[in-house]
Amino acid sequence: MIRSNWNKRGQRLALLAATTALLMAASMAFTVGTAVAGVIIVKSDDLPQYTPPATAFRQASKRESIEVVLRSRLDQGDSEFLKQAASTTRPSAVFALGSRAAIAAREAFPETPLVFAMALGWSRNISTDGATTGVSVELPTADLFVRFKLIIPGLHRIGLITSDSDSRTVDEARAAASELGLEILHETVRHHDEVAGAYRRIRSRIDALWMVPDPVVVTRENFDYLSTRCRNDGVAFLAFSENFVKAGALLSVAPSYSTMGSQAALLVEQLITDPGNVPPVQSPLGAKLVVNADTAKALGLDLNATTIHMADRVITPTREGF
Amino acid sequence: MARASDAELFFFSPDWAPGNLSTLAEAADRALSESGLGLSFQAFARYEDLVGQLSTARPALVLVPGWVAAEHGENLQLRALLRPTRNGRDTYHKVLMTTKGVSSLAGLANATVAAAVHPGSIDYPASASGIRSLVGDGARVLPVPKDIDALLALSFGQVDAALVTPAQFEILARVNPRGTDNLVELGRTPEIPLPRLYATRYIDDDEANRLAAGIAKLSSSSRGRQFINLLGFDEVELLEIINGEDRVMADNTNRKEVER
Repeated sequence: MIRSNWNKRGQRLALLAATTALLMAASMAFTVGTAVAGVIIVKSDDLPQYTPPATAFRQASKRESIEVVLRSRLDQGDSEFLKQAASTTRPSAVFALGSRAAIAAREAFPETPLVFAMALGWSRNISTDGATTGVSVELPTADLFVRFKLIIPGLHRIGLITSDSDSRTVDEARAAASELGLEILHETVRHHDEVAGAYRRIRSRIDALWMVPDPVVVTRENFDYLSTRCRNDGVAFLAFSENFVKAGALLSVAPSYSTMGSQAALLVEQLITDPGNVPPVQSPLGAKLVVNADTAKALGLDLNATTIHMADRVITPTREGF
Repeated sequence: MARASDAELFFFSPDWAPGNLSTLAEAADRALSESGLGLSFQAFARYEDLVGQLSTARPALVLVPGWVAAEHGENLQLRALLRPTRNGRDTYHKVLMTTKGVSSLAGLANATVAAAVHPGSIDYPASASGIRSLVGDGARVLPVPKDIDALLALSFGQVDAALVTPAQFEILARVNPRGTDNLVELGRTPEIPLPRLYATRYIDDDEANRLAAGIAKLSSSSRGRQFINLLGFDEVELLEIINGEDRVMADNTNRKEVER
């Protein structure tokens, strides 16, 4: 499936698209597009998470763009599909959302500058040889910890439970904590049913428990247990997804998808104007902070206007003022 | 003319973090519902969206920066009703922070500058941030959701400069003094007026004054105060128009009501 989103001159086409069939609109967009060398935005799939960075990219970029969504097809590989979809264009750069899109783009357009984002495990899957760079998915740990301290001024000791295969997370956490005057109390587990015991060993010595996306640790049962116990013990439960905050965690910090799109627009511009100077893969710069007001109140935290301004969303399950 | 039951208040401020609009909308719903003013609230993250809705949705009130009012004042027959303040002032400024070693704005000619502006509004000629007047056309402006994002990007060496409010820098400096030791102020924007509340052509003066008085009193409740604070204001003062000029009404009673 191909969708057109010509950036600056696209308003007339957008109007047309509203009154004609989708395929016909797309076809006309590509016809118009043959005259201009723009940016191809390639999505690995039609996921809603890809919309904010694609939108921000188009808003921040001065270049025209078209959008291609990869589809699972038995008769055609991704790169072939991409080549065919963009056969009438001369892309000056590709913005790929997801690893699959980045790999397909590199195969289809090996000489074209490529910027990727939202690609899990990019260092294993995507070659950065040539004019290739991107925005990684993970926020720097120090960035996370500063945001934790902004909401929890009295934070000193952070509990961390990981499986024994996740030593990189622990090393990075200890280094970042040292810079910020924090202390990490770490427990290792080998099986998901060891998490409750690990928590009990550190609960009296920690101000907060930081839950990282470790598949051994994060199960429904463990989340329910930790969320309840932390609340009862006066321990701030720090998560990585808004869904956990809705379910009772104090806060979550996750990368801002739209900022990734803005970053990618700058990187595309740099690659096009100075192809010999490829910038390194960047960390995401913006973050989405979600806070549960009820949990904050239960922990005795003061969510004043300044704090709320730092949050992108304050969830108030009971809809009471604070 | 808008009736009390269907009056709409439109809000747009390019300094307001677009990602936070849902929080603002929830607070507005709570405060306005409690007030019984018969007023609904609509916030806009993008200037283009606001402009598109101004003519079709016919809002009774708009809370917008002066440059927006100047662009649409004649067409919408805008009359200023309320003057919000923050720390006793109705203007604010932003500071351009960079790292020690950059001693002049010329040093940022080709730099990457993070700022909490909407991606589509960086180069508005009248944009409130005035960022281009500071860093010139050569700098790459990276839009981020909030001032704190810009500051953290700077403190971790991911950008060359950040345009932020001084208050946000002070907050970060308290939390992470080691990370902000190396940051210095290189310049500041001119004073930027806070948004003001205006009545439009779609509401008569009596109804506009009634709604303005009600909004000025919102801060007497905790929910209303939270809403006003979330808009970025400490207080709001009633205005009346005399020969086209704004004058603050010397209403001490009302001022007491809006004090926190």
